[in-house]
Amino acid sequence: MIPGPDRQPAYTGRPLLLLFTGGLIFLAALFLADLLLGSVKIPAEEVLRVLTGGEAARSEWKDIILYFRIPRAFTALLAGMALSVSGLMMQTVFRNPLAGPYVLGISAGASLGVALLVLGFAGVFGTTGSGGGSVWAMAVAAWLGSGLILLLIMGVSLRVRDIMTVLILGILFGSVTTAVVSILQYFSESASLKSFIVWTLGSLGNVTGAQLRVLMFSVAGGLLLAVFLLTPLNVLLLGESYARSLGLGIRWVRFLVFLATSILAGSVTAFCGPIGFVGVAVPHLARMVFRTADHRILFPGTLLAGGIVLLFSDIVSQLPGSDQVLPVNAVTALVGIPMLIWVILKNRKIGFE
Amino acid sequence: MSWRKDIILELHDLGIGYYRKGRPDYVFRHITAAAGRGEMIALMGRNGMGKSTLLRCVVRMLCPLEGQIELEGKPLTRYSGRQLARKLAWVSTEPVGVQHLRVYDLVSLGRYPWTGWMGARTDADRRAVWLALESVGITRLAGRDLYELSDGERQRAMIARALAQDADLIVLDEPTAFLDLVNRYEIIHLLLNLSRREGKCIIFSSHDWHIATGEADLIWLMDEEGWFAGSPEDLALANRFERLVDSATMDYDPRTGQVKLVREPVMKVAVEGEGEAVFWTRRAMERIGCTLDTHHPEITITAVDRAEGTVWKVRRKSGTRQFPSLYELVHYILWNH
Repeated sequence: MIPGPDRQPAYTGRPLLLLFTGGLIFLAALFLADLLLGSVKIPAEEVLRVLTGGEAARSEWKDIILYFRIPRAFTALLAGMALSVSGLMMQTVFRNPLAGPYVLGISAGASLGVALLVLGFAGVFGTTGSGGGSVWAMAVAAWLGSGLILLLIMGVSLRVRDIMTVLILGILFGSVTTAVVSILQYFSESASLKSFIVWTLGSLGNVTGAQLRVLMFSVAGGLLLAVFLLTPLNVLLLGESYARSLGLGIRWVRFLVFLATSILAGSVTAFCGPIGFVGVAVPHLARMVFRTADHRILFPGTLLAGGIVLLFSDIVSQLPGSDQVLPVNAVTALVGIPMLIWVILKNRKIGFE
Repeated sequence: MSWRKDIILELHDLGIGYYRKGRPDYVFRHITAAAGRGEMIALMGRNGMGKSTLLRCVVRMLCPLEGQIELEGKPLTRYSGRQLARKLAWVSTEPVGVQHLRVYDLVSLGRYPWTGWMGARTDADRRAVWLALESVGITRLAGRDLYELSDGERQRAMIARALAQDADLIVLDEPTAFLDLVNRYEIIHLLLNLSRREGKCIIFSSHDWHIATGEADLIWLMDEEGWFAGSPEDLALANRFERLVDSATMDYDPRTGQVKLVREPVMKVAVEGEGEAVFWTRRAMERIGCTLDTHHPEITITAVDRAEGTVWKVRRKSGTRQFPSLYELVHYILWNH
């Protein structure tokens, strides 16, 4: 007897609908909380009134919400999603649980670009890292820097078959770049050095208006590309020899994954600086929650978890109840590392053998 | 092989090996063979003869150094990756070490050459996956994680994945490695059934020469004398098995097709008695290296059936002894002769 699709087994094993609905509600709640909390105290009903299109009791509250908190929350959401999905793809391509969006040297390249701008050419262009155009300048510099490194790596990856070689070259290119950056730091003045250090600490608050739109389109483009890669990534789970025997063009998939990662992680890094640990930790969180290796489930799962984790980190970094703000990179490390340790201790081995 | 119309794979004067410093370094040369639908072919040869290299050439993981491979009359190199994957499936010994990969999901990946980036999602795909699971008898494992399975079950799952690919030719590299005896027989029988019932051509490499020669339609043999292709019996008649097991420590009996370790001769024994016990007593004596000699035995063993079980009486010049089991008899012969 030939079984119909109604006889297919319940092979998902997890209450997917429940998990996704719960996750979405949690994400929405965190998004709202991110709008309600901040270094300036604004009553909740005032925030809600502004959100529904009304006027706040004080005009600066409305400005804070519309031009600061909403873009900031959106940036956290986008950055969390972009970095986590990049990490998911990179871990599968490199068959390595510790791979993340930055293993190809994207952050090192971006920091070289920004270092050259801030430390090297600051005097020439008169930008000090606090002027209006400097976010654009920094973003472009970061893009150029990471783009340069990525071109190198992608060129290599189309020629070299062994993925470990690509990984090692990525780390080596990154180290060389970091060395150049440290030389630049050594010879720079303390004022520009500080603005560079502040960039490396990451920030979600500098992205507004047109920049947010650019970020949004880049992330949307990168995620769209990722959608086409989900089944190829599933095939890659079997290992390269099986993947090739199934007719998968491995070098092409690798190239497209690197391209998507550079769009996603590259644009986030350009606008927010390097934000660590989210990209490595969140995919593991999603694998644990959804208990599957299927990227078609892990992709939306990672999107959700990534948004949740970075929104949560952003709320913590605002230190609710005080007027101090922590650098977001410190918070993602403090949130991400315990998460990784938890995953490692609970599973003993993570993801791949 | 012009007398056959069902040929799916042909190897023309193939030379396999690797390039070292830009120069070809042959592992094996002059391989000419054909494989037909509905046939199960065992590729045999000692370690290092190039079995895996040849299979990797057949599935296009490697390029042969010379000669040509034709799949359905068309050179292998002229297929695109996807076209090839629709005609040829591959099962290797490479472990798939991914957590949370379910058997159903694994098998459905076999649909990739037909579905592309969207993955298996049509009813036809699901039916193919389900039929593949049914063919290897693991539908009950569909929802289990791959790493929870035993070695035999995992091998079945990998074969199901190859079946879901709907290819006419399935190539397996040592499918019975790591398996116990029962599982080895079951896997080979499963492959034989697939070739008979579904008309697949199945090529597998194996060291399990007893199973392979007992079940396969065709043996491809790689040894120092060169390439040989023929039925197991052709091979035996050509005295090629001896070569396969030819070494100082192994001995091949051309009459029974059995292979044994060569032992120091212990002594000449004669075995008498009735029924099954005699047969197994002779086996035990052969196992420990005694020569069966009814005319001039050093000792004579008589298996006697008693109500409480068999006992063994041993007569030798020095006297007579009795043993309740073959284990004790063997121990006595080995240590007191």
